[in-house]
Amino acid sequence: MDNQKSVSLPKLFGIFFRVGAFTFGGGYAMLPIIQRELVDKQGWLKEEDFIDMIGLTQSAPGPVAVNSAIYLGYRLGGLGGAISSVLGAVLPSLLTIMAIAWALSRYNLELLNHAFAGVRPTVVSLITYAAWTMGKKVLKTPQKVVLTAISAALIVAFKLHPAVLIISGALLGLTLNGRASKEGSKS
Amino acid sequence: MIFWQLFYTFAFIGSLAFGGGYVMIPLIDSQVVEKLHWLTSTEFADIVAIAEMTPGPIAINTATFVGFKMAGPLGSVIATIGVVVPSFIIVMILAKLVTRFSESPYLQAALGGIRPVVVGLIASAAWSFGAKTLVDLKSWILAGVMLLALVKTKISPILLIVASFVIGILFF
Repeated sequence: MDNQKSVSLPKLFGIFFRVGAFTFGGGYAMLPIIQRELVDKQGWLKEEDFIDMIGLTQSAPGPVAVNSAIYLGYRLGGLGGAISSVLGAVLPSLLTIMAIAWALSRYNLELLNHAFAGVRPTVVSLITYAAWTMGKKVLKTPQKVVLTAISAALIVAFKLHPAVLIISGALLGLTLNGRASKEGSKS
Repeated sequence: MIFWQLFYTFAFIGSLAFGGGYVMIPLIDSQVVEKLHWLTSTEFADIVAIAEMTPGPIAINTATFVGFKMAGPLGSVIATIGVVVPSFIIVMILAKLVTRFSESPYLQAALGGIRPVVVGLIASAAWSFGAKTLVDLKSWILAGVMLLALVKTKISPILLIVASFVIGILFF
């Protein structure tokens, strides 16, 4: 985010168009696409910023892909960046569904079914990979590993809403960090 | 007027769409099927199936489909803008606040607690999706090979998705 000048709006549009076109399986599967493009290839974003983006946008209403586009677009290119990115993220769905609504009968759904049966296992790998790369960056203390394990367990076992956990995580961070800095000032 | 009605119905849905995806299905159902009768329950079930198979968030896909059915291509565009506008406003405010307070030790402390939760969130999504999807040997093998390709190589995730389509058509 330090080198805002090198961010081009058409490029943002193009990146989020690809993100929108390849968002399968409920949102998180497209995270590696954003990661590769904005963190690895363009270097516009640090891994931490990327993780923070997910935490913050998941406490707001809206699909992950759309919220990521708005948030990252705005931080990288202001209002114009947010508009280009969200247009890019939404257009593939809009065009696909309009085409399907217009010519539903012409589609060979049988072939599509097979194709999507192949995509689903890959979606699992994409989401696992996103968790893995973020974990490598973030989980540097045993407490953090425990916090991650507890959050994951609570969601799987009790279907807790992500926003509840994100807000709890923020409060925990504030409490622990406050204590740490007090101890630091004593010594 | 139908355009205005499409806009505010989907803006209402968009403003309550916390958690995205499947959380929204009952919400859309209560508005679009039961209250407004814009879709029959069968049509709605079809849209959910289509949304699962096509790219894009289910809220956007439903808005586009209903908009088209009620008022053609312009209806699609207006319903889709409606569903995005609440996220746009709220997320922009969040991004503005984060930019302004990025140096604050409190924000940094809060983010320090949020980051491990995000990792847990994504890991649980992988777990839940895997529990539904990895049902036989070939799906496990495909998922394993793809994960290895993601971790060990620089192959674009998009290429891997396209490859999976082809593998799906040939072997699934």
